[in-house]
Amino acid sequence: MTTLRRFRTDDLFTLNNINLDPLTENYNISFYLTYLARWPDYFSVAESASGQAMGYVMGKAEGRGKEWHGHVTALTVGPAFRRLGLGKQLMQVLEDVSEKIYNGYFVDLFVRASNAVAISMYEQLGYTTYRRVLEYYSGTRPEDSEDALDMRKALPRDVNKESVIPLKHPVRPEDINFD
Amino acid sequence: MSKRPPGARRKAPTSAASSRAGSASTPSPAAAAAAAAAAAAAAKKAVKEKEVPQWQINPIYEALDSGNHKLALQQITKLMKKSPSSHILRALRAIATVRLGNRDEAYQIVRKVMAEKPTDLVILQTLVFSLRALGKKDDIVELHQTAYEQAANDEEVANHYFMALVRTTDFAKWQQVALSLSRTYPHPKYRYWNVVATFLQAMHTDRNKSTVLLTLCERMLQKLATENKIANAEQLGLYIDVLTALGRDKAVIKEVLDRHLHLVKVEEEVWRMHLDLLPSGEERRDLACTVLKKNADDWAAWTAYLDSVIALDTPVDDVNAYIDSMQTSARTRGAFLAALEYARRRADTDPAPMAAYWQFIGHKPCFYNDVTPYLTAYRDWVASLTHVVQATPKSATLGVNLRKMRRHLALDSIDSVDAILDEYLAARSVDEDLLPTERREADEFIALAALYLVDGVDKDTVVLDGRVVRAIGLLENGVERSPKNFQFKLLLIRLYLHLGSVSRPLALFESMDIKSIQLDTLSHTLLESIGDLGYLRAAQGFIHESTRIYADNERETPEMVVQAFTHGTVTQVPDFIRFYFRLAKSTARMVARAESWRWSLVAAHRDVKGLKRAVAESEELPIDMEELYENRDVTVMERFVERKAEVLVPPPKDRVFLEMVARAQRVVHGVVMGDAELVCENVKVLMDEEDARYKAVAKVAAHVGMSYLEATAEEEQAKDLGEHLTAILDVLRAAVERVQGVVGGATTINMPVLKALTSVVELLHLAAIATHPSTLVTDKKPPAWIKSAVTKYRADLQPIVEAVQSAITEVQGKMTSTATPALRDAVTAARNAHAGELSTLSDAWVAQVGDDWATALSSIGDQAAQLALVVRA
Ligand SMILES: CC(C)(COP(=O)(O)OP(=O)(O)OC[C@H]1O[C@@H](n2cnc3c(N)ncnc32)[C@H](O)[C@@H]1OP(=O)(O)O)[C@@H](O)C(=O)NCCC(=O)NCCS
Repeated sequence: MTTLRRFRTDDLFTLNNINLDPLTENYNISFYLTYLARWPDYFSVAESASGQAMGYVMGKAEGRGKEWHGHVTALTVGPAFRRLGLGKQLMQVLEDVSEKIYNGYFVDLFVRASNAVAISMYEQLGYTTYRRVLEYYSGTRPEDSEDALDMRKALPRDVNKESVIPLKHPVRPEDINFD
Repeated sequence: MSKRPPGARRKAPTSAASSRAGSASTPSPAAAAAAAAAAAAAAKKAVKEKEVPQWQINPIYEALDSGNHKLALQQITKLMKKSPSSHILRALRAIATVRLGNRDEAYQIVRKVMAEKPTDLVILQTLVFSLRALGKKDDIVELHQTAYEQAANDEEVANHYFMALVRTTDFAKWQQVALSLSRTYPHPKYRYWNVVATFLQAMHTDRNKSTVLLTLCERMLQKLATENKIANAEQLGLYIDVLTALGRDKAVIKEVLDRHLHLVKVEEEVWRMHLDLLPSGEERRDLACTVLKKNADDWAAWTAYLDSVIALDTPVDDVNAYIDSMQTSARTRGAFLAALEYARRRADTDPAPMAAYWQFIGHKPCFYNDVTPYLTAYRDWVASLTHVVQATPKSATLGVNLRKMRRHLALDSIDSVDAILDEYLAARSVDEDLLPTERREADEFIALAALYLVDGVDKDTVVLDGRVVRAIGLLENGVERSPKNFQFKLLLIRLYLHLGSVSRPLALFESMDIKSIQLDTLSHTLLESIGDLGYLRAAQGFIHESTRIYADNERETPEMVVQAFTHGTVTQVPDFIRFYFRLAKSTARMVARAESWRWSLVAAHRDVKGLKRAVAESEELPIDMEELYENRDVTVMERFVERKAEVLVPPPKDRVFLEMVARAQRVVHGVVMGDAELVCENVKVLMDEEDARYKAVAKVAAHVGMSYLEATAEEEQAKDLGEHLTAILDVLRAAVERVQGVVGGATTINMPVLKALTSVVELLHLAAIATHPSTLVTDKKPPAWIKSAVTKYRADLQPIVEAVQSAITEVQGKMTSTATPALRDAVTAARNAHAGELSTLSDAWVAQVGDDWATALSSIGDQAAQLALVVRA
């Protein structure tokens, strides 16, 4: 029993059951509001019958030429609402928006190399690892920094699925820039 | 190289956080980069200033960029010899001057340039840098307004003026400028700006005016529609928002939507809007079925379907057949829950749909959440259910869900704790191979057991209740095993606060990495207790950290309003403004302000000087509480009961508290700063305070205010002054007696004990304000009648202060004689309880709680000693 709808600023006050999760980032005001100001159709929330937020996805469109694509900035489902297919539904919304509104070539995302749960979900949804990004996540201590997997899934516009052919070597964070 | 304000070289940290033109006057590096672009565009104009050539200015930018402000100043001074009136040189000089810390001088420079009414955008932006740093918001608006008046035909200047305005909440002014822009320039965006500005005005005015303004918006949008100028989903969204605010018929709204359907690109979005707008009936039902065919979990569609079949009087069997068919074909929660919802609407209590839901998803953590609205109707069914917990994930979750339902229906009690712990022991091995970041289902048994243990604890008792210690033991061991379980931590924080301990709650709070907007929604539990418990320094530190979000809001949100305008996301503007107000006028923020006022004054009250400084530095609370927003989260901590009352800590502080503090603040401010009118306006409300929780504080503050008024009256008021001082003493004596009662009966130290002591110290502090003759009269030497009244008052206060001090000493003595031994006994009892290995606590734990008590008591003792000196002086 899920209602998928656009995320609104008011929702930012009622996300604690989701955002207290250790793998879910709490961003500053500008970050959330910039997404709402620039890509309001890319920010969706899954709501329960009683109106409680169960999970949300936040994304954007970026890249030039054949690199034009949808990007998953954050995807999270509250701990009490996992393994119900919500992550999958939210990703479906993001893919629809990437395809129908922005007409991108692919969807991509970065995930912690240790986040086995998320990786297995993305794989199940047809995402493959395009490249590894060394020390993409930085921590206060050097041993806290972690590699990211850059995972991709081609959209219909990329007829030959060129965008997802994996790179042979890992890259560094400064090598990824879509602006 | 283009001209750019300093800071332009640094790169924005993330692309998402970067902004574009329009936010040109932001101090952030990202916006500075954007400003550079605008500056380049304006470069042509700058040339005709023909003052200082660009190549001479570039080194100044470089010096400022690299933080070498002294060098920049030297270069400017040199160049200014030839061009003393150069705007750009003086504007840059202001920046260097601010950064060197000479704020007043910098402001002077800016004001002088402003007086010459510059219109060049580069100059304006350079000046804005200094004004931002100086916090001069109004000057920024003035600067742009003047430029706009000078260069009425410069579209870019006008744009900048509008963007300067939208950083304020003067909606009428936004509207004025938007209107004039839309009349001067053809671009339709200006007409949308006008609609948004008018819409916001409507949202912030009284009902009658609001309707007039909204109707105006509607007419503007109708006109745009007939001209085919509704060009995207955002503009259409604004149209719909306006119609909704006006309360227009759904049919009317749907007609507007349908005329612009091509603007909504995702089919599901169209369906969702139609489901919302159609009246219940065949069409809505058929659409719901279409949606459900694609996604049988869609709850909006299920609701629309059920509304419709009920409105159509569809036979129950037909509806059930449809729901059944959906359950077999799609197997989603929605289809099963729809059966429950349908039964509820018909008041049908046959347990079949509940049993089906249990069968379908009883083994998933969401089950309890899903069924809570329906549970009461199925009490007998739940009571008859049994489940033997085994070490499989499904069995563990079924067991947890059954216990949660039983708790919700009050079918279990504290007598079930041992059985619940056995279930935990049977289940916990299933969680062993999970990642530490994952939710561990068996943990729920621990949370349930802890809740049962504290259910019956009287939070006002001053005897240590061993159940609290056992609950803490369970939860602490739980946290050790599942360090990311935030439910454990939220509950633990409360139990520790009840015990009068704050070091562990502060550490737990920090371990949850609470930040940004969470600081507004989640700080209250700790923030509202630390000071009352006597940890004055910790309280002020915590308030300082957790209120940063409000400064962020002031700085960041207005820039986001600019972004929304820049990107044309017009529906976001009203949302962002609402967001701004929700934080700016947050109840949590005001409570933090009240607490900060209370404890910073007590701490500073060594003498009149300290008091004056604290009063001058404090932020004023509003009197009008109607406008406050409630964002404090009181539901995230799960209790598995119908009514979500707090656990062992007081409920969030309410408006009565805020109003009382707001008045007391004004009275004290008036007395200390010599503002009789302020005192006069506020004493009466305090005098009339009836709420038992705040009566004493209110009375003392009121009589302090009255004493001040008598002492500053034209004629001698010896008798009245004496009466008010006596009234203060009476309240104090009664308070001391109460505290002695609490302390005398106490065998432990906990929230009620520490609160009693702190509150009487707070009263002493207020009472001591009336001992300062210099604040009681306006001229230097008090006349004899005041002097003698105050001397007597001081003498009468002495024994009261001493009584408070000895009460504190008495409690300090109990720390070793009864409180710590009781704590140790409770730890032993917890270890010897059923499944005691799950609730063991170490000796170090006992010592830590003891340390906290000692800290609180010495902090309270220090304050009392400080006030004793004030009274004696
Ligand atoms: C990753 C996350 C969003 C998944 O959400 P979810 O709603 O539980 O996922 P779904 O129910 O849609 O799962 C879809 C499929 O993914 C796979 N999957 C999801 N969680 C899994 C787990 N814990 N273990 C193994 N596979 C898993 C399964 O194949 C699942 O299908 P199935 O349940 O039919 O077997 C959620 O775990 C989460 O919020 N984690 C914390 C935040 C996070 O890591 N976000 C990703 C950052 S890039």
